[in-house]
Amino acid sequence: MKRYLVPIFLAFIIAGCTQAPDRLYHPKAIFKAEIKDNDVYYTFYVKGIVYNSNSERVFRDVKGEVRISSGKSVTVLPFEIPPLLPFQKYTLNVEKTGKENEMKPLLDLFRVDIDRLITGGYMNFSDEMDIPSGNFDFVIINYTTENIFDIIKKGRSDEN
Amino acid sequence: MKINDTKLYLFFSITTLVIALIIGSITYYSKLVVEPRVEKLIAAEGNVSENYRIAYSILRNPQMFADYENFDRESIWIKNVIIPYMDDKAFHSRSYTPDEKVYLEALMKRRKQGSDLGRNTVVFFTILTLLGLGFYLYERKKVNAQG
Repeated sequence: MKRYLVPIFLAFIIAGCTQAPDRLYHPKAIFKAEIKDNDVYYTFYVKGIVYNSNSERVFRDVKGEVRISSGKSVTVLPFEIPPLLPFQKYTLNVEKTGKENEMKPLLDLFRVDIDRLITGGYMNFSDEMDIPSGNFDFVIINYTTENIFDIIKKGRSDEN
Repeated sequence: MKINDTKLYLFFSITTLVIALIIGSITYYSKLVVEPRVEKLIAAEGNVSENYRIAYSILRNPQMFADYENFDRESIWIKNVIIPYMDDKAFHSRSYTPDEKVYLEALMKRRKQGSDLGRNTVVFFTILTLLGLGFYLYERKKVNAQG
């Protein structure tokens, strides 16, 4: 019995630990082409839903990165999320803009037809595309938490 | 080989009795202390904002058998609509108004459903305890008769 005590104890500890949002739900990618100063600029958008599944924890000062790996290069899209209350969903939108040579790895990964993007499409936007799971990473780097019960009892303002 | 199940029945009865007592204490604490207090706060006509804030701070903690994360029709509405709305209000220190009464009553109703389920569970385990006790006494009488 004694040898099972530590794993059981650890299981309770782990179960009680705060689970930070660790995935982006329904991630989608969209490209946009824009002609500016006689040059073509491409904007890569990623959108998805961040969900706080904790029943008691408020997540504040959440900072993280969306990483898209394409071949040898990794595109990093940093983000910050406003305070996330329990059971709350937040629609995350991150973007990166650059010229063709800078955006080429992403354009190749998603097999975007550049000519079609520049000349056609709805307002030069591509269709929404799924992001291959093997090339996508959602990382939370930093956050602080607060207990919702403390907030309710104190009647605390987020400006304090 | 003689089979003596007396210890088994006794152990079973004690176990079900302990479970009934634990669940009963949680359930009747809710029924006799928590729920009347919250009902009084919700029904109070003066100082609505403060009373509703206290009532929500109590109701925000779900009853053991009525967790807001359970997968049932009512909890989905509570989890997706009521809790985010009321938490947001608390987070931004906005006053509670009589409009929120319907939300508090929904949470109260869920708490009562939970404590009713707790009460029914206590009854169930009490019946099991009595059954176990009955079998224990019968088996003991049989063993004594056999010598």
